[in-house]
Amino acid sequence: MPRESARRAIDLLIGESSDLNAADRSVQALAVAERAVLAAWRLGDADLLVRALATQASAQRLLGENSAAMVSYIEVVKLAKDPRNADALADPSAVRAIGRPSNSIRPSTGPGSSAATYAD
Amino acid sequence: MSEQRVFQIQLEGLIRLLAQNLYADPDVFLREMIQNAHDSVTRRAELARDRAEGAPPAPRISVEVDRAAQEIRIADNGCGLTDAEIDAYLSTIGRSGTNELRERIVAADRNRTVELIGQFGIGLLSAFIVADRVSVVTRAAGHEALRWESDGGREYSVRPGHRENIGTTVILHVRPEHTRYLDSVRIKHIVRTYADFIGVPVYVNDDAQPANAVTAPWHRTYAAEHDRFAAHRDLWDRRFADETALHVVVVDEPFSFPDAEAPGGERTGRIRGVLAVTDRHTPDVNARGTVDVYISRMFVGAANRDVLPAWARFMQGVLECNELTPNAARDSVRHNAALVAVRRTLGDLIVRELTQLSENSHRSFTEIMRWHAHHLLAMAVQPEHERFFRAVADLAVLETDQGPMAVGHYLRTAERRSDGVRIIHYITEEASAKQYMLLAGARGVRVFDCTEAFAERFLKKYAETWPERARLNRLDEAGAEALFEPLDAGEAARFTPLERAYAAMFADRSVTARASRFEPAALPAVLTETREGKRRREMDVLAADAAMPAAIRDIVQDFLAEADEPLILHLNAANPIIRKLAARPSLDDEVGRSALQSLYNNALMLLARTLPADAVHTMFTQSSQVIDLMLGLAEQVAQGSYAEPADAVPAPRQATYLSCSVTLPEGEPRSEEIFAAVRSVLEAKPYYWQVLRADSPSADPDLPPDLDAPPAHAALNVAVFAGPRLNQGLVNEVSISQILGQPQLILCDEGHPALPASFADVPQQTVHGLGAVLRKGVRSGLAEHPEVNRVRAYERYLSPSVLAWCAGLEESVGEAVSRRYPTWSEFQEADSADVARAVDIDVALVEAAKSGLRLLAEED
Ligand SMILES: Nc1ncnc2c1ncn2[C@@H]1O[C@H](COP(=O)(O)OP(=O)(O)OP(=O)(O)O)[C@@H](O)[C@H]1O
Ligand SMILES: [Mg+2]
Repeated sequence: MPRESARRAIDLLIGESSDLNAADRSVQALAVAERAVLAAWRLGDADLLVRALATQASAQRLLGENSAAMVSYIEVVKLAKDPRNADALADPSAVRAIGRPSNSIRPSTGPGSSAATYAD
Repeated sequence: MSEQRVFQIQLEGLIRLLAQNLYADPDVFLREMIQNAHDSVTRRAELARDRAEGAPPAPRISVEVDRAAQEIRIADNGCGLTDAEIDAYLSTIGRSGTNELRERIVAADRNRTVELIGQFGIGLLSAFIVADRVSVVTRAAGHEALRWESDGGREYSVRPGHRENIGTTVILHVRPEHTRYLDSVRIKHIVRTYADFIGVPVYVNDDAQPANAVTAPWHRTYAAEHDRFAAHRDLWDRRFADETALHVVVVDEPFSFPDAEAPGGERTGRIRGVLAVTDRHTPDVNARGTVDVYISRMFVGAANRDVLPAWARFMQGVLECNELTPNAARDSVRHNAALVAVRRTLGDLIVRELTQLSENSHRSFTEIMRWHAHHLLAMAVQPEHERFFRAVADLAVLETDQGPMAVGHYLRTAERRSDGVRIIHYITEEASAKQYMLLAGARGVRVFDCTEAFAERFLKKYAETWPERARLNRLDEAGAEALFEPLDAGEAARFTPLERAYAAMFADRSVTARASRFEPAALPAVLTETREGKRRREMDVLAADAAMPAAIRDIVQDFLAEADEPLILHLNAANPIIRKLAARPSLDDEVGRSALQSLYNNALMLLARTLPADAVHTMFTQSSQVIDLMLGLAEQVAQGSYAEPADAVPAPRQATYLSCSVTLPEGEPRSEEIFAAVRSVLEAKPYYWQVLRADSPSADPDLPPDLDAPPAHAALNVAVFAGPRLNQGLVNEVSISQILGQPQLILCDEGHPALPASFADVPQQTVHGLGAVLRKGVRSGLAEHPEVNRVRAYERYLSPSVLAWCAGLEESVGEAVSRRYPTWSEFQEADSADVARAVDIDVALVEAAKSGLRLLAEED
């Protein structure tokens, strides 16, 4: 249970950061993403860490900090290649962050939605 | 050195073990026996063809149930078995004479389709599910009859038998625990389930008619296309008797799939059968989308969900495809290249059909949309269904504040920018949906409710596809400006003191007050929050969770401490109370502070109406004090500037009849009695109003959406307080109506606990008793109500009750009439024949109702 509330909080941070990115507020987005990365790293959660890093990278890229973005992406790739993370990274949103092809279509709704996962 | 050794098989009991474990349903023994009989008659026809002999007798299978002998006998007039064949096929598990024959035929001629079913060489074992001994009496052409016998053990016997004609009889000596199968009704049922379309008649006992339909609709030939359709539709209707087909598709689709062994690396096949859009609504997404599958005329399994694409949950049907492969138990389909191709082919077919339907029959398509909007939207937004999306985009039905509405219809009536682009307003957050709908509705702005998955994605795709047609405005994000009209500088200055007072009240800056003008004018203040704000509130709760690891909590709190997106408290410059408050010399006295707090509380409640009961209670205690203070405040100011509450809520469209909405506590039988009394009073003379339950769904699932139906003017809200406890939800509703200045009447059952003091200014009537006594109470409550007496110049609503009194129409018929002709005048002006046709009753009855109504009208 403690893990769950921590996971949810980090998830919210990541959501916040990508919304800020989308709203052209990358400076704030980066600040939030850095917190998410730190929290995910402390929690030792590979799935969240990958997503947080990916969000951080896109904020850095939008701010023109290309080499920093590169470093973040390399982190993502390293995590993805680590066989110990294979299970944790099977989640579709982690798959999207890594860029591995996924053929499942998941409706873009929040938790508690009645929508199905359409896998074919 | 190694040597080859042979497994020693302990056959004893193994056969029975196999039989009992392979098949999930014991009924299948009969299917297997019938399958063998079918193959045998087919084989006989093949042999006759090979030898250029005359045609064999008409194929026939019979099943005899013999209770006295405890036997079931399955007889066929097929080819029979020779002594050698008995050893090679009947007695060798895993070797199939049928399969070998098929391979010979196919090797000789690749294009021949062979109507043989058996292929594994294990089906006979299933006899041992129900029998402890199996005898086979068989006679092949040019041979003597033989009798084979086995008890499922290692040994079997073959001796001369008695049989006059060529063919085979399988005799099952039924075990005591399976005597339920010695029942011809049960046997017929199993025959129909598994062998309805086997192509050979199956007779049970002495019946003159076969128990099966013999052939499927797709195996017959028809004189006219119409007959073909009717036969398929009939099958669907009978198979899914408790569902209704909204649209029937006859399936006859060729398809191809990769097969390394076939010449050219590809094989072709055919899917035949019938699919239909069912009227089964499926909130459980795993509910439908299933087909009954047949392979080579043999039923393989009901409700298979692998054959249709995952999104096609709204389809239901029966299909036969001989290229699919059953598993050995013949109860499901193997996942292979053919299955993938079948699924793709059917997906294409469904999309093609629906696209055509949307082009040719808007009405039918809209009806389907109303049932299955969720799944259809889910499909339409997928990139591979672009064509479907384009075809149906305008017909797609989404929920709005005024019930379901087609996107095209919405756009035709939507606000238009100078460049011709129409604005689509929508909301996505469930919690605040009601509030935004209220605000928008008062402005005459329609709002799509995109709290359902896929609805927002659908709208986004629409706006991306046709940017010249539509632009999206999400109200619960930043788009709320459409609802809150900014004030000009001079006017804004008048409200600055009010905004400052709130700034002082929320020193932590969690709330920012901002004056603007919005509808309805009776609403003094509302709160809006952005998605970010919502997220922060959730994080606040999480951070307070004691179980949160400290290292993470630090980070979260650190984040929360930083710039916070405030809630925005919109103060309505059009509202009299806000204006008066703004005009006060000081807001720092008790009245002022309480008023500010209370306005905020009410706004908070309106934003998220899912507060815990005690929070609601505290709010209302305070709120009622404040309302009292407000009244005092109002007296200080000139009377003239007060707008009549009823006028402050403009009716968005010209209403033609009056309606009354009744809110009652759920599951309280007494309140139902009171509701019935309200109906019988208000639906009758002299009112003739429409009476609705507040919780009844706005859309009627039985009717296509009639978007232009004449609107009712909600003239009165009635709240029924009954039962042993004060219902907080109801208190909540009454208070909100009070804040909105909507006319309402409280009906309180005698003996019900006291109502909040703040309801003192709401007209109230205590009722008691039953029948006439109860109605009398209700009637006097209405008679004394100022609003009920004010509104008169409306049309009479044609209620089912009135139709029952004046023409004796049944409730359901009355309802159908009333839905189509909601007012007396519409009904009188309508052509009687049309009415009769529309609701499926006799014209005379319609005429009778009309003259009954005329008589009633003369009485008045
Ligand atoms: N009524 C019958 N008439 C003639 N031959 C039969 C009959 N029943 C069984 N046989 C022979 O016995 C063989 C074995 O039957 P069995 O049902 O076990 O296998 P199958 O029908 O070939 O394959 P499947 O396991 O798919 O049913 C058949 O291939 C057929 O040669
Ligand atoms: Mg068989």
